[in-house]
Amino acid sequence: LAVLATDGAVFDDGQVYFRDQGAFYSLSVLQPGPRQPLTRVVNATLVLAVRDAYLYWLTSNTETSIRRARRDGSSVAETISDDVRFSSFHDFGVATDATSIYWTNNVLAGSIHRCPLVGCSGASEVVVALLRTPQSLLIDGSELYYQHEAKPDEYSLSRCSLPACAQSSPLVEQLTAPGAFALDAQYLYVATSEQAVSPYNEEQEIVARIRRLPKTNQELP
Amino acid sequence: VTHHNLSLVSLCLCYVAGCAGRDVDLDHRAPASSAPMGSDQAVVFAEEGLAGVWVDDRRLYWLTRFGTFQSCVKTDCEQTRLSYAKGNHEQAVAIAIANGHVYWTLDLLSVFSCAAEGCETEPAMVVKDPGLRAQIYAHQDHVYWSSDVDFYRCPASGCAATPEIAVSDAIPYLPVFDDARVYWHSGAAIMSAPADGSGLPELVFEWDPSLKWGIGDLSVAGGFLYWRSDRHAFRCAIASCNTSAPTLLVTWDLPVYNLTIDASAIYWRGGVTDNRPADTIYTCPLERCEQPTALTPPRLATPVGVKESSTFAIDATEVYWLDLGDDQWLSRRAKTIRKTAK
Repeated sequence: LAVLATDGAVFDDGQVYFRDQGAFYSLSVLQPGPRQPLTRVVNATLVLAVRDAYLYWLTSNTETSIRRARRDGSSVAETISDDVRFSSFHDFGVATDATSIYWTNNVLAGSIHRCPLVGCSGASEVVVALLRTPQSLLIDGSELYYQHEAKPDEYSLSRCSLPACAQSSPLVEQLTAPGAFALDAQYLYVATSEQAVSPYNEEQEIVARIRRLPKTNQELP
Repeated sequence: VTHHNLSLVSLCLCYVAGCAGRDVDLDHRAPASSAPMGSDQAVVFAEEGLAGVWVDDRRLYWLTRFGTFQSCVKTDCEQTRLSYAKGNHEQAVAIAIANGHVYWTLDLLSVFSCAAEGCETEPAMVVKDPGLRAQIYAHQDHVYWSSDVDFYRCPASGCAATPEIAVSDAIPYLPVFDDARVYWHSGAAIMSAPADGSGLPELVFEWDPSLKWGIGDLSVAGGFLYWRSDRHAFRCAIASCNTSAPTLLVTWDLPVYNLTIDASAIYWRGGVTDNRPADTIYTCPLERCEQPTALTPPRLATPVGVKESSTFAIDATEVYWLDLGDDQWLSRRAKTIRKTAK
């Protein structure tokens, strides 16, 4: 697939959703064919999530906000939150559950916030306060997994129970990259390295281990 | 600038700045002065590619275009020279100095610090922030910088896991500090906030948005804020900036740059004619600027972005500047730091 300008893509129910210049498109993963145009957008930066009938995205030109519209293009864009703190130097993480959309304010003095899926009527709610450059999120049932930096370029993974999300010590340290973790029904999978990793050192060869941890007893084997 | 044009400018400025009753008559051009060119302009230091000069009570600091950052004791520069950072290629480096600490950036990404009297072992890495926006600033024992969306600070010894948020949702450019507060301008307004992040920003002064030239080069001293706007310099009392018109301090023939204040005088960098590539340093008494004095020959290096961030500096008695010499006008590369009495 040739795409002129896209920043990430999201997958949902056999479809991949992406931005190409001023519009969103979907494409069947299993039955390749022409891409289907969805809603047109202004100043969209990043496709974030697909949830139910809606597509969520980030805009970050003059103002930074999370917005949504029906993926079939039948609604105008709505603002979900306009108090998003976004750095273009880091990955921006989003996750949804049945009621809320969660995101990483991925700046140096960062945090994790949430709004109802229909949008916040005022300020967004703080889920985890003051984290160094959080970038990646996953929700598994009522558990929120979130990555952040312990030190420059040293990535840690923590977990908390929603909705309260009491902050705890990192579950895994020295991830090889901000998004180097995944979940299935039984396990958490992580890629870790004993070496220092830095996105600014592309020549360094990183030796990584992929480990899996039972979700019920998550201590490194 | 013709006398007629200057009068029009004056009328406009009086309209916004409320000149009536003040002791500055804008309809009379401040006469050009003869500089004390014959006075002592000693060479303090000489090296290829000088890009910045700073001074405090005890030391003189300089930066080269290649990223070498050094200092010496002012009274014996030859014997007391020390290095904080040694560069090896042409690069932009931001510098900040305060309260016995020096700070510099590497690759405009990381901030390092040392004691001004020399690094004990290795420089301390204060922070690594890809969002760092070119400049750093120092006040008391902290270094400050604008990042992606906030104005951060950290102690000289280094940040904790996260920096302190000095001002949230603000990206001040060239902020200045008094004891407890930081001030910055957005071109059309001056804002302030507690420097330790303990309070919200407040509007201090609002400039007339219809004016062609905005606010530049903010300074703070003695309860007053000073700034330049094109060919003029103004001040207002911080306590009443927003309730009374600012005072016009200077009207000059050419744009005023790098406005600097001490207890009794105002200093700025400016051209001698419209088309000369090098500038001089002018000064005037704070209370009444009728006849600015040129302190240096018109050989002051002009800054080029961060690479040449500070081309003159003042201490209690003297002004130090990057001197282009007589043969460096085309290359604009200063090779000497000179000083002269204020």
